[in-house]
Amino acid sequence: MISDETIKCQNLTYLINKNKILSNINCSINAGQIIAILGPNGSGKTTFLKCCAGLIKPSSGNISIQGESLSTLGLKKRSQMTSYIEQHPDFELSYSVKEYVSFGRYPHKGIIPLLNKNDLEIINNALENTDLTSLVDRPISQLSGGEQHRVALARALAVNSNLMLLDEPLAALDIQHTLNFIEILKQLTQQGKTILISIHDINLALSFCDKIMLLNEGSIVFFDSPNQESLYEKLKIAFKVNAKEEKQITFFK
Amino acid sequence: MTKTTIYYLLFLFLIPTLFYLHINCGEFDIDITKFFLGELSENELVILYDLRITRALKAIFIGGSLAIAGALLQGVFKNPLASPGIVGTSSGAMLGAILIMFIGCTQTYFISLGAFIGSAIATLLVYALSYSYSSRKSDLTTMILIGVAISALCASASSLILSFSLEDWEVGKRMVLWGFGDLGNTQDYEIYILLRVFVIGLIFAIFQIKNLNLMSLGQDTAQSLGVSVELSKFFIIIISSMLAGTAVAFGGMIGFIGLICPHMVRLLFGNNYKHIIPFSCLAGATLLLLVDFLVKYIKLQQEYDLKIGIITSFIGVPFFITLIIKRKLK
Repeated sequence: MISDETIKCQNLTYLINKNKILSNINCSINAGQIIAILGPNGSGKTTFLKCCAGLIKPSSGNISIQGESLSTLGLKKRSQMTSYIEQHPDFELSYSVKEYVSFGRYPHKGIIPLLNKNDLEIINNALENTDLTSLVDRPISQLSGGEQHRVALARALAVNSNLMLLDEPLAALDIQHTLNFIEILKQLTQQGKTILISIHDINLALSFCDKIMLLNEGSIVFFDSPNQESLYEKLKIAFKVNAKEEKQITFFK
Repeated sequence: MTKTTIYYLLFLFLIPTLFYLHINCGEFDIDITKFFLGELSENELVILYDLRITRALKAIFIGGSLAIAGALLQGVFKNPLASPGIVGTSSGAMLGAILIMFIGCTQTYFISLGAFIGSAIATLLVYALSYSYSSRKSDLTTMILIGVAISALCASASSLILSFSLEDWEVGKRMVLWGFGDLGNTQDYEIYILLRVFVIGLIFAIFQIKNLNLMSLGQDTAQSLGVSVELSKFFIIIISSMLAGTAVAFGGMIGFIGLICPHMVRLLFGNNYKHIIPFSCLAGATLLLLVDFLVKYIKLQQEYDLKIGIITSFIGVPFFITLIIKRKLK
């Protein structure tokens, strides 16, 4: 039943000027799961994802990915093992969709990135998976917001890593593309990929994620499957919802 | 035939043509065709080698160096308006070179070294200041204002040193003439230094294409794709200072080449540095060769000695203002 552990955090703490952005986070995430990271604004979701991606160094504690400690992992190896989509990627660029997606192969390449047949195949797969094949030659700055986020996902897919860290990729998508996006994520977990995704829409998160990680003021207050009764109580506390909004949450319960 | 091939062929045609026009132009009439037949006299050969070919090569290397420096700086600042003239690289180089001349050193090696160090310090300073105030993202206004401030500081410091030096007219005159920017009076060894710096800079720039592309996606994304962002930026600033500093040391203040060329390439080929680096280099070499040809031609026809930096500014300033207005309209 228990599959391989993809990522494990031990006593992870991150401080900015003595303010605890993340405090003492312990968790272990198995392969092939989608974990939704929920929490009010400023609860540390982005910081947590950045720590996992190795973009910022935790003040103390350790993160290991597939058994290897992030702090000892070289830059190149780390970039091959994780793919990360930042919260507000810059899409005001004149790269074509194909060029942009091919950047996902660069962690596997040397100083002069020449793409071989295998790379092209992975890129084409990523483009197909995200339904972008008809747009390959368009400059990404001219795409719609939803298309741009699919391009970002395709780029992350092209890295072909086992761990994907997505920071609010759904924020700009309409309902149809959101559902498509989720469908793609589900397929990816079947291929054994582990996905950490931060989401604002609680109802949506409850509908498709294997586990919910609820952050509040830098600590994990809930980390379990969404059918646990105690989740709703904790959501109420974390989001400080009043009676009116409470209905909304129970509505999806 | 792809677009890139067509443009490579275009430059392959343009550069030799301009080179031919350039070396053909001068007070002394030399029939270049005779060179290939081996019919040139001793004197004519000396003029051809020592005056004309060296000057044309100098224009090519300086133009190429400045354009590569501009392309690299635009990548580091993530800003299409960055260029050696804007972010303080050129004026830093000028201050460094003048300081070296002030302490009485006339050796070109040391002057170019001074220019390199001066430009590196000025550029790093502008970079550090414009970033700490705008939370990691290069903000256009901050960058240009700080660039202007640092440039002004370097210029006044240069003037100060110059005013000290005027008492010793030999030193002062050398500084003034140098400051105008002139590709004439080129010595052989200058070409070798320029060639080396140019080749090192070009190879380095080619090796940075991958990092420059990834950095244009944003700091976090670049880092997650395996770029050591801060380190790359530091090296790129050092190399572009070396390129621009050496160009300034030997050619004087030639503005706007580093701004215009990468930008035109961007308009044609988009953001990919795989095109921006080589084409900027070719365009820079072509443009400076053309401008220097004009300088020589005007001098020959009108007996009026226009300096090269003046012409590039006349072309560059309207171009620069158009760019800013266009960005504003966006």
